[in-house]
Amino acid sequence: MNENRSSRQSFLGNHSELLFQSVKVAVVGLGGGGSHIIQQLAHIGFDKYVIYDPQKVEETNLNRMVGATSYDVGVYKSTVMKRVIRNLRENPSIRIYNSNWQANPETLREADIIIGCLDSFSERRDLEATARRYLIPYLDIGMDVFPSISGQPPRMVGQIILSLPGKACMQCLGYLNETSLAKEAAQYGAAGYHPQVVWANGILASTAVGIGIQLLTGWTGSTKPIIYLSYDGNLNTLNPHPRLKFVDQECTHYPFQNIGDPTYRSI
Amino acid sequence: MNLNIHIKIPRTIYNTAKSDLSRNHPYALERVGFLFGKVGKINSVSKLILINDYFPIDDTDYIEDDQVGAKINSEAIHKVMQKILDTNSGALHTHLHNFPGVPSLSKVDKQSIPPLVRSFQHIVPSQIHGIFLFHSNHHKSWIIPPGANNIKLANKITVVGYPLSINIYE
Repeated sequence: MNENRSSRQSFLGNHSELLFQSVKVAVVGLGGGGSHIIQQLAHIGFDKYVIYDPQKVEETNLNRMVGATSYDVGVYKSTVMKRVIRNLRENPSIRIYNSNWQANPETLREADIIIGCLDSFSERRDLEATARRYLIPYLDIGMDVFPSISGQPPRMVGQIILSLPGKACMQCLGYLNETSLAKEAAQYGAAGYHPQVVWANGILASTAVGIGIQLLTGWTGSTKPIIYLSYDGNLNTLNPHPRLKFVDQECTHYPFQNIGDPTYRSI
Repeated sequence: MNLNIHIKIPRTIYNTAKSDLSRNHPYALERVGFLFGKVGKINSVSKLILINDYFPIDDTDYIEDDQVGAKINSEAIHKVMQKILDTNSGALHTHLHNFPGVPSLSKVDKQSIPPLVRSFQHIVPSQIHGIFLFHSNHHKSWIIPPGANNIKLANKITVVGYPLSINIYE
């Protein structure tokens, strides 16, 4: 057996190496989650990337952003990620956008899979809507820490969701709802404090990458297309979300009739 | 212009179409259907065809003809054209060669499909029309780009489901 960079993951399939080289992955958000994901994709052997993040590295990112060092403060996060990929891949194709994805949506449409590592509910809603419109599987990860109440310790929680066109979306799953979106909109403009830690980011990112690899290769034989995992950072557990028991398999929010470029009709 | 075409089809629609086309017909040797889809623009040379529906041909709309696998009547063509117009969609003629291997167009396909596709282009020229061939274990598609005369092989087909199936054609 030939030993090469992929030989220890050959169980993923005879053509998995070629598959990873040809699949285009879009990663939106390059902080604690996105940086983990990109590093792992490069290790696995992915060669085609579209990455979006308008931010530059700040001192506060260094507690969790994989690949970033003290010397990178003030450098675009995408530049750091490009370096991470190039240190692991010989000839990658990397489209980087130092902007929100909405500023360059056409390139996003080329992606075979989108991984969102975003901070807000509204950003997630918008990204999932576009992924649905262009029949792109969307993987969402996120975490938060809620402050202590009544002497109880802070609560660290997170989620990993696979949103597959035609199947239950993040609204169907109850993760996105009018209440959370309205509450977020009411606080629009407030800078806020977003606690993030590297170990939780790592768990969520690693699991999302695992789900993505299963989606692409089918190596586990699983046929369950709806994935909503709930992370409890206090208990260090990752479990199927209880709402999964009550969710309709088919999505009613994004019918196939609405796919394609948006069009407008005069009324 | 060398147009780059990527077709995406949800697995549910893929399975529905293939299952329908696999059914025996009282007298035709094979069945015919149409996949409907919308164009998604990436850039001036790359476009997506996003399949969103499958339209089967009624049993009674087949014509008995032992010279070909299947022949459909003008009523069937009329229904397809009406749906193209009503939904502002592109249409891909589809049928199944029920044996394994990478599909290729038969002599009859090469003769009969391009005129049909060109007539679809007259109805909705902004969308992309063509043919999608199923084999028992594979699939392949050809389209006629707007304004072009010749059929062109689709560069990539993704069956969107769990797992994802991606095929790239050179």
